[in-house]
Amino acid sequence: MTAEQSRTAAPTQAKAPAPAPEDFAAVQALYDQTMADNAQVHDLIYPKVFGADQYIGQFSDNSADELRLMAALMQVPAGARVLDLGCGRGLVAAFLAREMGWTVTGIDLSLASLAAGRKAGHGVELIAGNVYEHAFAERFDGIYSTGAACHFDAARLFARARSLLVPGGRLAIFERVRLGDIDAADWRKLTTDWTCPHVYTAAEYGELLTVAGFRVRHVLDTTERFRTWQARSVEVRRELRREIVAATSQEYFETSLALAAYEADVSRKGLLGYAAVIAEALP
Amino acid sequence: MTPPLHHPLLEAGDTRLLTVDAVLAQGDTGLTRYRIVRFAAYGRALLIDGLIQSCEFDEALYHEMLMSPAVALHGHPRRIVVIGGANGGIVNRLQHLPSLRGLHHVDLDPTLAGLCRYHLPHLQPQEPFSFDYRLEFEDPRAWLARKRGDLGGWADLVLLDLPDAADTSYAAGVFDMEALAAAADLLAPGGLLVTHVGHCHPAAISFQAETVARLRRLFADVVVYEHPIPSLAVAWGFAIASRDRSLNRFARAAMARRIAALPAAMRRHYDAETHLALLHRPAIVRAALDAATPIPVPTHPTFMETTT
Ligand SMILES: C[S@@+](CC[C@H](N)C(=O)[O-])C[C@H]1O[C@@H](n2cnc3c(N)ncnc32)[C@H](O)[C@@H]1O
Repeated sequence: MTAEQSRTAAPTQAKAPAPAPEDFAAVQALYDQTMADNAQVHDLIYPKVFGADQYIGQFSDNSADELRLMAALMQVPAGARVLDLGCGRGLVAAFLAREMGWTVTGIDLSLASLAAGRKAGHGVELIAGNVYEHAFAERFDGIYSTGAACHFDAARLFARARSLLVPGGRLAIFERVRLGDIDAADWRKLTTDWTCPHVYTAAEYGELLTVAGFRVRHVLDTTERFRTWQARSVEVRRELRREIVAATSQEYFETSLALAAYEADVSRKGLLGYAAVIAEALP
Repeated sequence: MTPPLHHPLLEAGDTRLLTVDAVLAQGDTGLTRYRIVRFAAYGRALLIDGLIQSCEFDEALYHEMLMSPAVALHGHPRRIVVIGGANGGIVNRLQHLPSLRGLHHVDLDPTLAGLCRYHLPHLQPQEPFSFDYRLEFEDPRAWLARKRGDLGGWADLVLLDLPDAADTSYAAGVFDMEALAAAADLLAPGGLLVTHVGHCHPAAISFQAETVARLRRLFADVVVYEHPIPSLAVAWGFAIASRDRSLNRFARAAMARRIAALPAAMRRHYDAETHLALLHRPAIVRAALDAATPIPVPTHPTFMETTT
């Protein structure tokens, strides 16, 4: 029997407004000011959400195993040059450099995040800058972005990524994805409030990758565990109430708990999911 | 809503429509075109080249029918070779065998195995193991050619858990005479080779007929049996082959004791009564097999002719 006989029709698309313009000044302000003190609390909460052996300092909603699987799906060999796009503190870059034997460069806009990463001194090159503007010396064999693509207009991001990759190079986007019809109030909370132009479906990422000169190799849906992580992040915040308040303030605790509860709710309702899309740059 | 999946049952003209709750992963590793889905009726399933490998609902049935009769028949396999099956379902059962000392495992595709570890946790073994486990990723044909020297005469059991030998599948090459002969060379005295031999649909049984005919040319004795697999919509066929012993015992009452002695994880759906059912193949299937067999087969006694 041949594979051509097994097929699925195109999925029905959930509707959404067009992407808003990118605003990287706002993104930088979000990470350098609004969320500047967030890292400490994050390090308190997430070892308990993912499990101690699954937390490596990542800010995306993925366990270490999920990050490892994304990296394996890139099928980029050891020794290759790989870019972590929106690397934050660079701890995922350090983890994957170790796990995969890659030479990883990280780039991020957020000076506060990079400073925290440099302090950790974990042996990957970290660049302060905007990925659209920085003049990279060489092209990369692979680019991945975990929890950062949401800040971009995907069409522009993929065109830029294509120009930074060698032919045959791989791009992996690990990000929240839209699963259902999101109403205007939720849309604002999930986009504007997080300085995100849009929330894409995995299929939209796939289409935009194709337009930008990529061939989609893998789509990995991690929604089931994403819902678990979201629900756990609410529970753990409640469990760690005293520690969080001590490290920040009662107000911070209340706000962050409400936000986590809201996001868990949106995911539980089936509006948000999580997926990795891995594509190959065509020659 | 995820669209339903059209799953081919027969090459020409019979396609099933299965409701898909979620597509958990899909893509092309360069070695395998795969899809991991959650079916409304049968739970999580891996598809390779568009064909279902197993479904959560009854994977235990498939995997037990593949390995448990051979394990029971051998009685105390200490050294086992598994070819294929790194997606799961085999080692998680074999690991409960008290007699097991060494397990060599080869499969084609490490990327697919990683995806299965994530999305098909119900098929995965729990480490640590109390036996020596070697897992290698390589084309099984090349691996067999390479290991023929080292592992010749080593195995009490050689277990093939490969995808359907469809035209596009690497597995077709493992079911040919040369690869089967190389697999046979791994057997220790008294050792058994076991494989699935495809579905038992009487309208399209040529793969089973050819594979069984090849086994009969390579081995002194072969037993073929079948069990319905609901999620696959047909009965599935399996064969146990020996180079140096008669498999008469397979039809004997003594098997009941051996089956009862299997680890619980290997007999959720396999008991003495089921064993007897395995041995009785419908007349329409026997007739289809007779009609399809293209190669003259030497007259080894089969279980159907064996008296207890
Ligand atoms: C949610 S964080 C994820 C950080 C990291 N990938 C991780 O998982 O730990 C998103 C990061 O993307 C960065 N970012 C957003 N737009 C960027 C751009 N144009 N160039 C470089 N970095 C950017 C932000 O500064 C922020 O640190």
